[in-house]
Amino acid sequence: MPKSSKISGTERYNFMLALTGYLIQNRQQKIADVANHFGISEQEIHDAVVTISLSGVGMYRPDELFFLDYDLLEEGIVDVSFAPTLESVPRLSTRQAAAIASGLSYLESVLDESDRVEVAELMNLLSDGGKHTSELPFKVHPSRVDVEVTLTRQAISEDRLLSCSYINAANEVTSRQIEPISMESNDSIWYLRGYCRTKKEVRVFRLDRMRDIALENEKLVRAKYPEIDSSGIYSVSDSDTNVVFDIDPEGFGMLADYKPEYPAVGDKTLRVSIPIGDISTLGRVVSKYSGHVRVIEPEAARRVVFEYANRALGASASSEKVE
Amino acid sequence: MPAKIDLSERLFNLTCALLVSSQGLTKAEIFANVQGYKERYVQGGDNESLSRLFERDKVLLTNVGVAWRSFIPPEDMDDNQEYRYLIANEDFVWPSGTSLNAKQVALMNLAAQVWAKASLSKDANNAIMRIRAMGEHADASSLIGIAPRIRTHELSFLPLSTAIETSSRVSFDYRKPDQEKAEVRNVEPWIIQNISGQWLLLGFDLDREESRNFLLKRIVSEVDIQDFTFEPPSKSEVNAAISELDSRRRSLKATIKVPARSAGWFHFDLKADQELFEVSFMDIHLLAEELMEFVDHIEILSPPELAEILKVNLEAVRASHA
Repeated sequence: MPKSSKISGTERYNFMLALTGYLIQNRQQKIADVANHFGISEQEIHDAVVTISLSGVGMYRPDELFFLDYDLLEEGIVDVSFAPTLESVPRLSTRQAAAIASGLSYLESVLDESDRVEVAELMNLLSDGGKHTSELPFKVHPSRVDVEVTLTRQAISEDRLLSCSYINAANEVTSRQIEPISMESNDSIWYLRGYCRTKKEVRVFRLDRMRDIALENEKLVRAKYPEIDSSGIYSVSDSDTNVVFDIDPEGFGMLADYKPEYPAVGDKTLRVSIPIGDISTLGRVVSKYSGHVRVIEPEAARRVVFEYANRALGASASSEKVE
Repeated sequence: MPAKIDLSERLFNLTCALLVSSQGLTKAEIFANVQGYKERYVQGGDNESLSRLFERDKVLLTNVGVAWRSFIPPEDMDDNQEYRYLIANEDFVWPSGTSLNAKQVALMNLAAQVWAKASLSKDANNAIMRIRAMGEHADASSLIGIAPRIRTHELSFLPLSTAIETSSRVSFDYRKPDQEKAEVRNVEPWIIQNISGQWLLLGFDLDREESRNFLLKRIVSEVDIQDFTFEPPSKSEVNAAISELDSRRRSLKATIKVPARSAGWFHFDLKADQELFEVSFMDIHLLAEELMEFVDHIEILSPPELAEILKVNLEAVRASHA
């Protein structure tokens, strides 16, 4: 699907290198197919091809390095021929290889067996595909595979209704029937987005709050998969309460969860207002940051957090007796 | 024809020139011949600004992984000692015979999407363009319905990864949770790792004279990249340090009790009637942070420090909301 934003600078340079390599191997391509293959607009492909064809290296005449068939281009066909020295597709930079390799290891825990075999092969290729001299600069350790992830994955790929016990943020355990749509993640936490038959709406469920998952035999019929909403796990609704927080740099992780677009930079405490659906859940959300996130108002929300900590302090007092 | 050569076009022309010249080109030859330079070249002039432009372009090529070489030909050693530049074909293209299948392309597309909202999105996108250029179409049929996302909201991520690539020493302020004040740490950075959702820098701590792990979220200053490079560690040194962290993580254990069917019981995946369990951890404060989400329904049986940290944390939360 062609993108609307135009590429420029080093990204366009990178793209022209890639496109050149591609066109060497693939003569007489329809411009629309090339655009589709790279996810770039036809206009940009057209411009890039013209730029490439005009590139000369001085001691050659321009048209001796690359020859573009302009007649065919008018008909929407790209055909470029090259000097024999440029043979193939540029390999990945160390950083590019590291980005892909670590993305693959991050995915490993949600992939099925045959895809994992492919990943192992790719990891091999990527560690050579960049420079061979040094270690990749970063890596992600695959997380352990658990049964909730495996079953949820299976429910999605087989279009099956999923039932489970679910503990919500208010600590209530209920049985749910969910028509799965997609699995989404934020760092180490995986979520299932699905239509909850119990609550009769599309909801997001945390996999680590699900238990006793069973796949029903009922096969779901769906015309097509809905576009996955890229706006994230947390969504705002009209009935939310606006809560004002003071957030120290140690608590910026909370901003990433609730306001990913917020520029959380610097070493200063930020005062931020965030719409919260159910303020009774704030105790657990805020306590996680051990005082580095503080509710300023409304008073009811402050009270929830105070009560949570107070109750927990009572609970841990009893644990002292156990020791 | 474009009236003015832009950055992408100049870099492309430079790359082609360096690739096709078997003997390498001198700076003067590049300036006189390559589009993007030649328009501004003055024969016999000092061309100082072109030299600076060339220096910047070399860095840009390196950044996208186009490896150029510079050398002085042996026959010139005695005379003008002018560097010649080239890009060797074997440094540039994939090893011959490399091919990808449709499933692999789809997997790598998805791997790139992992970074869509993080510091590496540009590198991941550039990689995908080069992968698509290998021609195979993507077969994502086994990957429908997965929208993975990893985040790097720690600002130190990019500067640290750059420093690792150039083997440059860094310094930064680091604050441990049990310390009131941050401390300056001087480090030779080796590798950044993500373990259970946490970003860690592994490097050689120059003051403590041993390898150490630093949580990126505890870096509280900008990262200062120094003009001092070091010999990168061998793979075995890095692996030894990684497995040391791993065995440390396995040896540290907490014993915890939770009521069945409470949030903690769900979170730790306990058996139907199980209430007591052991969990190993890498850092006691990280574990405490994880437990804070259901601290109202747990008992810490050991270690006592963990119970103490939870208590201190809770008191801080209570005091700031009284």
